[in-house]
Amino acid sequence: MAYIEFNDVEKIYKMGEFDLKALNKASFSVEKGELVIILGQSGSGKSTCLNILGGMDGVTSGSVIVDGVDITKLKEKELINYRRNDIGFVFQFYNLVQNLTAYENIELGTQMCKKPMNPKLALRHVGLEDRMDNFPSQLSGGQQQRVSIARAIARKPKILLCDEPTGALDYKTGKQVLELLEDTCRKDGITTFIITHNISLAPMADKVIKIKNGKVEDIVINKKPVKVKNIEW
Amino acid sequence: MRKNRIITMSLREIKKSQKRFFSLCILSILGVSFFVGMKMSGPTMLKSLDKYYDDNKIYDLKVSSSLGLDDEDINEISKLSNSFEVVGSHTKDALFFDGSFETVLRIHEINNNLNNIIITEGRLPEKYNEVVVEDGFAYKTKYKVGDKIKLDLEEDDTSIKTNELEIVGIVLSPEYVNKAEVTQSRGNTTLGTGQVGYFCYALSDLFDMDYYSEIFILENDATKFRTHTKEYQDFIKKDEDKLAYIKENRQNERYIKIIEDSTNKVNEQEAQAKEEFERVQNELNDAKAKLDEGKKDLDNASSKLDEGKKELDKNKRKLDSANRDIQNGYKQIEKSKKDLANGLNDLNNGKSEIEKTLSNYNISYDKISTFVKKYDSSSFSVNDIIKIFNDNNIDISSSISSASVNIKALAVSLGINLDSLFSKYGINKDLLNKDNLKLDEVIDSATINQLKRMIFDDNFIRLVKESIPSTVPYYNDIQHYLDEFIKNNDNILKLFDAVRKIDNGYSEYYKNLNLVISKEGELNNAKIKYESGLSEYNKGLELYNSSLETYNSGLEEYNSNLELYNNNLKEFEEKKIETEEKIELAREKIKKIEKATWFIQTRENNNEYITYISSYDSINNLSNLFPVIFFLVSIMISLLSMARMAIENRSEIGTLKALGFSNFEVRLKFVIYASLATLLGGIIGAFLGYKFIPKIVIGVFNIMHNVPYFIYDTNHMPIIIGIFLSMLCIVGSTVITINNLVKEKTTELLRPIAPPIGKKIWLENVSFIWNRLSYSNKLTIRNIFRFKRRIFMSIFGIASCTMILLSGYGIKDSISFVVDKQYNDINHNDVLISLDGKVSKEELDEYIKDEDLNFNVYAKIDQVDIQNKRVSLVVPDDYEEFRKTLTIKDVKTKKEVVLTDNTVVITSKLAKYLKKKVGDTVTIYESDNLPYDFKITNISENYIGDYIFFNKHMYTKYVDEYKITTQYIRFNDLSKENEIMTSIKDKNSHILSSVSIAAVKEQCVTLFESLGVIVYVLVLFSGILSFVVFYSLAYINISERQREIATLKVLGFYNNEVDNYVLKEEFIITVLGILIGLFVGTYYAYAMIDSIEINTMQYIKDIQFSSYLQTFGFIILFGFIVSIGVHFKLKKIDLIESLKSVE
Repeated sequence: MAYIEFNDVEKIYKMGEFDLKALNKASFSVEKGELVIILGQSGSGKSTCLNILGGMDGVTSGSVIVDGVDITKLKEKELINYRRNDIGFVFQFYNLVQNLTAYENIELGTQMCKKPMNPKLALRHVGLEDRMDNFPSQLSGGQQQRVSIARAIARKPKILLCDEPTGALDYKTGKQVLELLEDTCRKDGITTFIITHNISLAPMADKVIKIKNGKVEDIVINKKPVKVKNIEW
Repeated sequence: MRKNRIITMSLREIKKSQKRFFSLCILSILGVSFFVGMKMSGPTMLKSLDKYYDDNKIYDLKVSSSLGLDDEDINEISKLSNSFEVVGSHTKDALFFDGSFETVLRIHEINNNLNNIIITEGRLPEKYNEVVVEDGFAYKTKYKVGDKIKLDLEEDDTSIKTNELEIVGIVLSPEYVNKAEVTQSRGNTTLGTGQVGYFCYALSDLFDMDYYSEIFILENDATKFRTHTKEYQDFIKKDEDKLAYIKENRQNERYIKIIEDSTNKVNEQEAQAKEEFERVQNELNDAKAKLDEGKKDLDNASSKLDEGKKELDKNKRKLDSANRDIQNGYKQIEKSKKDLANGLNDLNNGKSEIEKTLSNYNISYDKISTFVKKYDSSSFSVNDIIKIFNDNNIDISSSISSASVNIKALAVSLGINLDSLFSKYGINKDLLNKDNLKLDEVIDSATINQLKRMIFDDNFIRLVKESIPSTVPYYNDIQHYLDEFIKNNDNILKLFDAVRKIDNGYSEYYKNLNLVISKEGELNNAKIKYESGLSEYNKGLELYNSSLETYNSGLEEYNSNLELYNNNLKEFEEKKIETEEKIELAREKIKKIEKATWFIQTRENNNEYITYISSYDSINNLSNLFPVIFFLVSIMISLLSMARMAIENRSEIGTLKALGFSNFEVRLKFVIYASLATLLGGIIGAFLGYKFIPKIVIGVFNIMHNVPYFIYDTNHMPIIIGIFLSMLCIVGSTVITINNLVKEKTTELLRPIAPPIGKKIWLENVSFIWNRLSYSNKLTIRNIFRFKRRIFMSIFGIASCTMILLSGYGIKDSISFVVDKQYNDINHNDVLISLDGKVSKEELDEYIKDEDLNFNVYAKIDQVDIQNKRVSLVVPDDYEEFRKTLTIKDVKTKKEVVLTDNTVVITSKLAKYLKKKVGDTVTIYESDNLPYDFKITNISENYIGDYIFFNKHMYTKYVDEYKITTQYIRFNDLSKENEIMTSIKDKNSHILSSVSIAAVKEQCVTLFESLGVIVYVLVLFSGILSFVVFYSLAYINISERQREIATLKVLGFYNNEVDNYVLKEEFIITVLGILIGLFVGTYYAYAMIDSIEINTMQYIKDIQFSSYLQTFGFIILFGFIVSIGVHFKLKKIDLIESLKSVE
């Protein structure tokens, strides 16, 4: 059995009079430690995938197995525990708490974990050790995103979910962030999902899942992923 | 027409942000409804009263007089104005006591078409002995319609025709707008405890008075003015002046009439009395004459009886002495008889002894006795000698005579000396000369006595013997016998004596015996006579006794009649004196009648009316302060809301500006939005406020009042002002908020707003605290400092709610403390008695039993005017004593003030009113209108009433003469108050009125309890406001931080951790807000207390700790309730929010 399995997942949003099928029997599987890119256009259902995987949203039907546990069957409390122990989340807009310093933002992520990484170490990991006392507003977008990544990995999650992590960043910074994510995945062995609409990023992944209209259109497995450093877009 | 899309945007915005819109709406509703409601409450209350009064034609002016009023007065008053309706009316206060409950009832006359009363049950009286009572009385006494009540009238009280009245209905009277259970007093009276308990109404037929108690005047031209308004008061003042114009004249006329009438009445009474006296006197005199006559008869009878008695007594004495004599006689006879018997015995013994002797001689005693008798008699002869021995007829005499023997010779022979014999027995010796002398011759010559002696001479007998011739018969016998005789002559002589003695004894005995027997007969006769005398006497005595009895009964009758007469006379005299005294007293009284004084009163002098008006004033005062807070809060919340809205619309503003809209047009969207919200809320608020708040507020005050009318005031100014103010606040704050944004550069506006910058706060530098805080606490504190404006507004909002609530508690506390403080700390008496000032302290002391009282203190209280304020000038009779009843405490030093000769103390509220300090001079106008200037030396603590204190010396020196007008009493046992007061009042006729402090206290307490309802109303309003504030704040808080919260949730925060994250800071803000609110609210409450202060009462600005606690608790509770809502709202926040881009 694969580490993560999406089996015939359907997600229907009731939008007033008509139903919106965000996911339509989507199925895929991911092995532990893989760097996965979920690729799709806006509204394709890729974010829904991520939400479901992150325990932020339920499914209408189908099952999602993560490390042997069907997370669709979890109760709310278990789902929160799942989020806090197994998932690391990197937001498109970083979602740092403005009122906390970089260090404290990481603490915000680690405070509830059983065996978290030292926040300082996490910051060192993302190369921002010297900015740890800075508030988000004192950091650039890329730096903020790196803090956000540090916050995610400091919790030593099983899965790292990144929602358009470079969406709000310029090319250069975006690349740095992607490099960091790649690094995290490869070095720490954290299964990493990156959601993006940028098709040119695909080569960096072990597995590329293309989603269109709520369906898995294609799954491409790169035997030899290209390093981000070498990808241009 | 070109469509203005700004307006479209505005309307769409409303649709999009309904919550915000309605939040603004509600703010406007709150602000306007409260403002309108409070502003309308007062006028509505007044209008209700006005209509109530107008509909029931309640008097505008009332005249009463110390001497009553008459038809002439009514006439004169009626002439004053065409618009007057004038009616004379009777009033009577009477004691009511049903065994357990005592009160004073004030019976009013039901006036024809004036001062109408409202029947709530039953019907109006139709007969003189029917009455309608107030429901408070029915409730208290449990009497129902149909029951009869009995009044305790004085015996000679004829002012009403009956004291038994049937309750035929329950009424409301517009003259009495206070509820009975709240007022405790319907006015002052001279009866009972001095308080009228309840009112009732009866037909004029009930009253039997020759004067009117009051004259009521309805000013028809004043009905168009609302009562108590200045226009009304000014108008009525003119009428008052008119009345004052005729006052003097009417007073005099009434006085003269009263004097005339009473004098006539007294004269008539006097004449009547005189006539009556004469009649009775005559009757008495007749009776007296009859009695005297009877007395005379009795006296005659008495003297007769006395005489009879005397006679009887005399007879009795006689009888008694006779009886005594008889008894003595009998005793004597008895004794004589015994003596006689003894004598007889002796005699018999003597005789038998003699007989014994005689038996020797064979001579019977009788013979001897006969002999002796012969011997002793003159016929004795010698013959008899023989006869002693022999009864034979031996005649020795003849024998002798026959003898011829010369005795001379014989003698010689015999040897007898004749000479000596002769001389011995006196025989004539001449015989011796004869030669032949014969014995015969000798015997013949001898006298019988000589012979008797001689016989017993032996010589003689021998002569005889020898002489007798032997020839004579019986010679031998004779010789024998003579010898015998010679032998025994001595014994015979002795025997003779003995016999003679015995015989004498016997004859004596018989003589005596006869005497005794005759005496006994005499005595027996006497006894018979005595006994008949005695029975006669007894008969006489009986007669006397029965006569005496008759006399005595006659006397008794006379005496009882006399007593009766005397009693009648005494009674008559007493009655006469009494009547004379009465008449004298009546005359005295007439002399004492003082000039009539008119009391012209308006509605403003009606205590109950004034209480209602002070409720009205309180509401008006509250309406100035309360709504301010609501407007302030709505300003604040709308500032926040609109700021949030502006931020949310930031890029839109930028876009609009980029599209070339003017600043004005950009603003317009917001202004329209805010205006619509405000206007909508304002209209709803005005409607709600107008419709319901007066009902609630007046409802609260009507706990005390009995005004069945509720007429909305039609002055809509408050609505317009309220909506305008609301617009000003909300739209104003909108404009201010928007202005800041609009002035920003377009380019900046198009960029997303930089979120509030996180920064270190000063507390972090205090590392020893900061490092100890937990992570989440650090976060909370930072957050608090991050959203400074929101936090400030939150605190402000919560503080406002707290202030409102606290002020409610403050009012309640302050008022309820007044009674406690005044009657525990300052006044210590149980009763205050007003006296007529005509009586001395010593006299007053006599009416009082010392053992009942803790103290009994006197003072003079004078009503004086200071700056047109009526103030009581209190002058203790003895300050040391006075301290027991009243503690004059300096308001600043809290020390007791000693009244010395130069001390002028005024009470604190008065000082405040006068705006005077210690050292300032006040001018006091005494009743004579003369001004006196004094320098204030102390200001004293006092809460109820306005007073100035002088000492006695100072008063008499500068103001007026001193007399006692007031008496302060404290009982040892308060439960005996009624009993003792009744006894004091019975004794002391100088009492004008008395006030029971216990009753006053009770009255105040009920009043204040009812004011406590204000607190609930304020809890309600404060609650509503709190919810709006809390809700708005939470709403803004959450919507501002939705992403952050969603992120936390994505990060795996549990629900409670999320709640904690948000609510902890809200909690801190709330507590902070409350604390500030409590602090500021204290002063706000003070201001409020000042504004509702009643004229004569100073409230204590003292809010109890428990009130602070309760306020705190309530606000926390409101916050908690809202936080429950927040919890669910947080729970509902979609995690997906976190993924959305920043607007």
